[in-house]
Amino acid sequence: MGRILREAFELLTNPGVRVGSAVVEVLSSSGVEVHDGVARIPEALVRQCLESAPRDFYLYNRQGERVVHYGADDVQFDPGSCCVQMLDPDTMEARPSETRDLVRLVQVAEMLPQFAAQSTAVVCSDAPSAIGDLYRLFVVLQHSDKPVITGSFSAAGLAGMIDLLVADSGSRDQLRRQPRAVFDVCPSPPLNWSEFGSHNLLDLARAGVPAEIVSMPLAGGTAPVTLAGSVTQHAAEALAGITLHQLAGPGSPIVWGGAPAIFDMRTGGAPMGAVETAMLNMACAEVGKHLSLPTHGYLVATDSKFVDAQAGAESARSAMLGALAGINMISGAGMLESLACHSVEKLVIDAESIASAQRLTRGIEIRDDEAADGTLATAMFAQTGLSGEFLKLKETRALFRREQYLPSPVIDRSARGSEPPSDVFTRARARVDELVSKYRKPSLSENVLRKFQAIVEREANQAYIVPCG
Amino acid sequence: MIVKPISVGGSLSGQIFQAMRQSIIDGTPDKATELAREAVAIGLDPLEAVNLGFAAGIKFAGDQFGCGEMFLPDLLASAEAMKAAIKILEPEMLKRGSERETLGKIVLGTARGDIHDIGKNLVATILSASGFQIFDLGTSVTPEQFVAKAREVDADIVGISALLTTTMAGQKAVIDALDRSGLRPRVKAIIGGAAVTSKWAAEIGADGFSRNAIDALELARNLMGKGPASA
Repeated sequence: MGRILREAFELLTNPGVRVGSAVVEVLSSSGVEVHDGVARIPEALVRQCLESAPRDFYLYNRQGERVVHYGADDVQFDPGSCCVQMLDPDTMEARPSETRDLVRLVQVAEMLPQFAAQSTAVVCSDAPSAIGDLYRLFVVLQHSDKPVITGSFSAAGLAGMIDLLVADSGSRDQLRRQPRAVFDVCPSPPLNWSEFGSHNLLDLARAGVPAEIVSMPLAGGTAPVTLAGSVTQHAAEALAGITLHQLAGPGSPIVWGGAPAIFDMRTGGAPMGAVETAMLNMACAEVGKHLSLPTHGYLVATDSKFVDAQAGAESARSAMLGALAGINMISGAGMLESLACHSVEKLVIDAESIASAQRLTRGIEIRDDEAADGTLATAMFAQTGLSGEFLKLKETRALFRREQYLPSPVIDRSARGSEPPSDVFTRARARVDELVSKYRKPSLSENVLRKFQAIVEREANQAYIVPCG
Repeated sequence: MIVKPISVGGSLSGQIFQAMRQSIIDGTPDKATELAREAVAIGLDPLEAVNLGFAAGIKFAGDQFGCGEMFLPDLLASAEAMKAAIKILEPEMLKRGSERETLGKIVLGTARGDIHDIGKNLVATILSASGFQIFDLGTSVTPEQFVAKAREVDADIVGISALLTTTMAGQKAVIDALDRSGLRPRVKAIIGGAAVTSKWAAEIGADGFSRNAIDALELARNLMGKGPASA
């Protein structure tokens, strides 16, 4: 840990960090000059900014309840974002994602307790691309009460998205007090806070809306090939981001997050299902925890193009590892093809892996006070003798739901019957249909809906688009 | 566990029937006993108490189990509550000469060499709570013992349970013995167990098999020509 941070601080001064013009003023007011777009940020300034960054914060649902805790070792999951493709369960082919896909993903995630938050999971190809980012949040807010992990595609998009959240919360102050969403902000590896990224950091810090740094070094491609070297680069990028952010808005919430991966030496891709990718996520989170910061990672995804055994193995494995690492928010569930394609069927299967990971981290609990007179087994044996009739014990009935995770019908544990057995994709499709049929849309006031529509129309007009309908 | 009671209107007996059903769904033998005693005290027809009250609860619990909403410990608790109620109501039915209709007589046991009896016990409990008369021979039962008991009690059905693939052959031995004794086809033979499949059931000439205790209830009802249970 010491070596990682020592070298990360060193990188911030040599070679320094490429920054956008938006942050030149903020940096120079703290005595850091930017030459040829490169800032050399001294450790003392970074340390000062780490002091002002909150150790933890909450995201709130529409009812004003704290439902996501960014901090300590709490682990929460949200569906991955942001894809442009959707796996069509009828044709088994990837096709451009549309509004109906986003709605279906949100409906299913809304029904599953495994997902503490929603995400603006896919780009809707049937909406004008100039307001694509805003439109996703518009759709999610209409269909969900849960917090949202989101992000903007442009500086203008961010302003409109914050306006949507303000309309939902009631006021800017209320949004600051009880944030509903967190915005992913990405540096461009290596060590580059682009114009857009720098701008976003500043705007979010000033609005007091939580930001989540998603640094994505690709070990061997855009970062050192060694895992330790990539973790070091991630740390430098995240430290630079936190510095820019905290200088603009001291105390504003920010997350030490990322989507680090290895660089595949055959395909040149970023294999999200690789075990090294999971190791990078775990290690990066460990550095964030060492600095007492809230953490995020990108796991529960796969490189497979289908919802098959590879998808299940890679996604379940990384869900377990991420949970064991205590990463506060783990994004990625539902995603296929190295984050290029979403599948709502995969999302319900991943929910089972997530539930297993959550059960694992709860561990084996000693129920001294509630079960069997403070004994592990002897008091229950005092009731059954050697009859073996544990199923009848009141302790069994009282505790089995807490001792065991009871999976949904997506997981097949049944004995072979007279009907032919089904495969997991078939069961997942049935589960999706069931969840969608039980889903109820939140009731938003006419007033809020009108505000939403006005914001979307305004942004569309500014982008020189005539809104349809 | 949130299970909605079945609504039956607001009359006094209607309220009692509803409470009876709920005591079974909740799996509370004490409550079921109390309600059965109350039924006797106020002169309610004990047969009606069973059919319109308690038995409707066990049917509901079975359906909930079937669709994955209730689990084995819940189902077992429901069956225990049912047994507790029947224990109070049975003498009253005898007194009135209105004995509860027995759905059939079933001899149960695990195959020779197999001592695993959780599944068999569950089947016994559920079938008994649902109105079958059960003669449980316990574990590792020989074919001769099955035949002798079936003849002695004039059984309708013989159920042979086997967990292990190695003891499944014992199921065939019992069916063969029932064939030789001349009891079949009048006496039906059904099998169950983790490794048992419909293919195996057909191969050894069984009259049916089931995957769990609730399916076993439907199977037994069908074999007795009773059709599906109705509440």
